[in-house]
Amino acid sequence: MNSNLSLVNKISLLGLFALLAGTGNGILFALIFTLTLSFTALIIKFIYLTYESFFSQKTGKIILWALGFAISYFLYNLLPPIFGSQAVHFNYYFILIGVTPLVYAELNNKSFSNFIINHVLFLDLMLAVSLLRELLGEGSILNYQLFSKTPLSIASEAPGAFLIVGIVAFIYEIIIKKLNLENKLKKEADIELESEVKA
Amino acid sequence: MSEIIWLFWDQLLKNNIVLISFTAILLIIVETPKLRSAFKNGLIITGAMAFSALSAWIFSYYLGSADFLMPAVYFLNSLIAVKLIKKGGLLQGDWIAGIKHEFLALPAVLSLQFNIIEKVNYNSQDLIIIAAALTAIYLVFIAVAALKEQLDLKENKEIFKKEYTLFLVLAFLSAVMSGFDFL
Repeated sequence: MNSNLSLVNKISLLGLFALLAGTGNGILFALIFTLTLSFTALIIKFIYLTYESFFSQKTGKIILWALGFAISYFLYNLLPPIFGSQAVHFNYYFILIGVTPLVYAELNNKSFSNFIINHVLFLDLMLAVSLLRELLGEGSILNYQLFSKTPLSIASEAPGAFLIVGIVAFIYEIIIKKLNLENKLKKEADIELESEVKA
Repeated sequence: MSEIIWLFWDQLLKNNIVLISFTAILLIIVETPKLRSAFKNGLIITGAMAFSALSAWIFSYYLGSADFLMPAVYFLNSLIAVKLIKKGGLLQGDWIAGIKHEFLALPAVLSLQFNIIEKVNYNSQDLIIIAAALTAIYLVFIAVAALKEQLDLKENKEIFKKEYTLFLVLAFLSAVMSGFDFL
């Protein structure tokens, strides 16, 4: 794969499972999906950084994957009763949150600013994709029906998921390039890293 | 006989998003350099997935009363399948953001097992369902490799390095596989 991926491309590829599977059931479920993923990623990062010498080895990595999978399986059993009507959407895609590449991205990077940037961008992407898929595929937003006829029913199906993810990632990339956000973020991350080194 | 062919065809076309999307990840990581090598690479990947699917099918039958054990069984199956793919000379090295190639196959293999077990009834027809799912994965793999080669040749540059092209091709392929049900 291209090693010079932009930040948006990187996040959309790392979180592709979630972007495809977690956005087909409305914005609210996408939000639950994203927060669960970020929560799992935070726990995994914390565990990794605490016992870095063990988890950076091959056996440790496999155990870390198993831990991630176990966390998402635990949440898959715990969360449905809490979210009531959203419970119908909790299927096996949800268990796969624990093995989403985004959870394990840049684990050895001790700077939490990069982690936050990645997950905020991922949240943005998830919300944008789910909003478009719900609006175009179901004609509604947050289950409030706006159109009597669905404007583009393909959006709620599998082919539409790929199309919408591609379109949203493309638009985000244009916006980020226009505002020169990527360079600003890199500079901010560098400054924070320098201050951490000095401290 | 016609019933078996109909079931195979139906399952081949109506495999859900998870199979297609996670096969997409495999396509990304293996990079399918040439159509000729894709035939062999596809067989290695599909063979390892067949092992995991059949193993999950057998274990889920015998461990049906201990459901809580199944995720662990699927996980171990997936690790063995990934090892098999690695033995075939694929999934070597690192991908992006410190992720190893081998890790990316893990969710693909796991999702196949979850997907298969959701559909099976523990009779002879299950084998047709598993065969149809694996055929779908192999066909998508070959189709994308062929399209990738053609587009890269025509454009005289590696157009597939743009992820949007891959998404577009996968959107088209999944539309074909769903039989354009949404129209």
